[in-house]
Amino acid sequence: MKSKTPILLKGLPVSKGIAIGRSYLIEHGKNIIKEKYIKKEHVSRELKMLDKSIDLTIKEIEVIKEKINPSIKSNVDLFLDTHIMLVKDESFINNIKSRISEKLNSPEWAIHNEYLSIKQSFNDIDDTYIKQRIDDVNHVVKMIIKNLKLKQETAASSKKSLTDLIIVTDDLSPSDVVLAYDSNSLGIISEFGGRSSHSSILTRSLELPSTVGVKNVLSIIKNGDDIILDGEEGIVIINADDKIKAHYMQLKKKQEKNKKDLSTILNRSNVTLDKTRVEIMANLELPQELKIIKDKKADGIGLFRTEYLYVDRHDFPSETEQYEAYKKIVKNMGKLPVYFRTLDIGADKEVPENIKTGSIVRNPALGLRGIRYSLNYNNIFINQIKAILRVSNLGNVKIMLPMITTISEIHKAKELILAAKRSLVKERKKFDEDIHVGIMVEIPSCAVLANKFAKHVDFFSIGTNDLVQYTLAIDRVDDEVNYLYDPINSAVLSLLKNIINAGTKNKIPVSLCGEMAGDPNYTKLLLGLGLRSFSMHPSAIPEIKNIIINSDITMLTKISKKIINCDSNKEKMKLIEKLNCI
Amino acid sequence: MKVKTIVINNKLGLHARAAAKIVTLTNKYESIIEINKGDKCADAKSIMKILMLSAPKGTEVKITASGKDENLAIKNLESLIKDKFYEE
Repeated sequence: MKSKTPILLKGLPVSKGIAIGRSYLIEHGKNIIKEKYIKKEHVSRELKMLDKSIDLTIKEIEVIKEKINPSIKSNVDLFLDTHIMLVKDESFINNIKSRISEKLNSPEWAIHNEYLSIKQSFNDIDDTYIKQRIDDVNHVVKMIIKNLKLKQETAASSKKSLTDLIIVTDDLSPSDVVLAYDSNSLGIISEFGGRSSHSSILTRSLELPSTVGVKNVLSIIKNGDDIILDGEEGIVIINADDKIKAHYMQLKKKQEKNKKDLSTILNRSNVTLDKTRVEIMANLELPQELKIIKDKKADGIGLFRTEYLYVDRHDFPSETEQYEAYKKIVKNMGKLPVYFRTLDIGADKEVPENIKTGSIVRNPALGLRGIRYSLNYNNIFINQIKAILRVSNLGNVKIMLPMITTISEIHKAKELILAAKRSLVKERKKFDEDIHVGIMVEIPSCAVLANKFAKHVDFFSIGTNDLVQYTLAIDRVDDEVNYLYDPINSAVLSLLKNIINAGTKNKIPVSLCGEMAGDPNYTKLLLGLGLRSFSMHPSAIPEIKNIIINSDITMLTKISKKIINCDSNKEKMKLIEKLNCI
Repeated sequence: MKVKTIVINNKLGLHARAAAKIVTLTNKYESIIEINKGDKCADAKSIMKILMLSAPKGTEVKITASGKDENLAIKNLESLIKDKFYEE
């Protein structure tokens, strides 16, 4: 038999994981509803059928609600509640009913027509966000129609048939996702949809491999085709040959093993082989990451980037708006520390993408950003500090100042913090009087004199991304020089050592929150340099934790020192390799 | 009948969740409650009608309530909108 040529399709990666199996097509379809009329004497019977399918739909959504993982419940519940309200909406239902009783539409045809008329009015809406809500109406309509057709013979039969199959569909509704999950299907591919749709959020939280936005997938894949789905890359392969199949089988095994190994590791305490306790925290960029941070059992949020509240809008967030957002995060973390980095805008976000050497451009990395911006716009800073102070009572909150160049900047910032405290006292609002204030050490002037700076703050957090770029005088955004970016340059490493030593000497904690903290190549080196607190992207935690708890620091110190003093790059790489094998 | 004019001030306007919160609230009252935008009018007990009204941030709307519990209804609807639907 002649083998078919493999076909590769690309979609948006939505939920990672590999699925290998046969396809199962679920077509919600667009034009499958036919114009159909009923006899007058059947009106009351058809109305009853409609009521039944509406009840069934409500029950179905309620069942989904019960199955949602509690950690994302509050998020998902709200849109499921919206769906229930839409199904129960009286004007919607009454319009459908009058189409049945007066115009003698079949129930399907009546629902379809009502949907089209709603869609028409949504089309006239200017606001794109509200406009998109037609998707919610669409999901609900599809569910009611499906229930009209299937009536009683639903769940049980379809449940069985989806086991070990990869679902291929045109448009994914949250109920499809839950059905797929319940019936042990392997993964989901859909022709339409986006990464941040409700359905995509669900697939991620249920850890079901998925890719969406795969163009024409329904016309390319047939029922029962052999397919491979790689959710991490957003790849679908049809007719894979044995070689490709073997590759993905192996990858799948590896991923599953890693996941299993690493998930048991997360339950162990962060102690090295020589019984040294190491802190492993997470960086938070968006509130949606809270769940994964909790899952990875992080020791706290070592870097809370507050910028998400400030970008993509024209005005500044009010104190109350910030307070409400911060409250959620701090409460969720309980007694674990949350390091709030005060506003750091003005840098890379303003860099035009097409910067090239030769053209004269200002360099925002060296401009008005971080604490410089805050000291220049006192009100914006005080507003944020007040919001942070107000949540300091609810958990373990710390203030972290970015881009500190001089000691006087620390004093100026502290004066403003004091002003914020005074104003809260006046407003009779509670806060933690002894809140810790620390700094990001990311500018060479501060790193060199770390011992002096340490006397004025409660903690250090090393921002290696900026420290490397400022120490080596390279613009990371510039393609033509970023080959010089090297976190293990000896100048950088000796600064790191200096900062860590200054912390030890002055008895203040030192943490590292740059990309280096999440890079497994440097974990042992950093431990050897004396670092005892790491903060990284939450997904990096399992791997880094695995290295940390299997390290014996007493064996690392000597080589680490050697690495700092090493002049040849080749030699240095060898030493690091050696270090990582200990 | 009670009437109040108010500006929608939350970030996303009367989107699905906000509309859902309105419907949950208004269905507790016997009064007829409506939201008016310009010459368009929506039954505040119907999520579909509220969505179709399309009121993004900055829209000025007139809310009306008439019935036995109109005072309470208008007061609570007003504070729900003013407090930006308790969103973050």
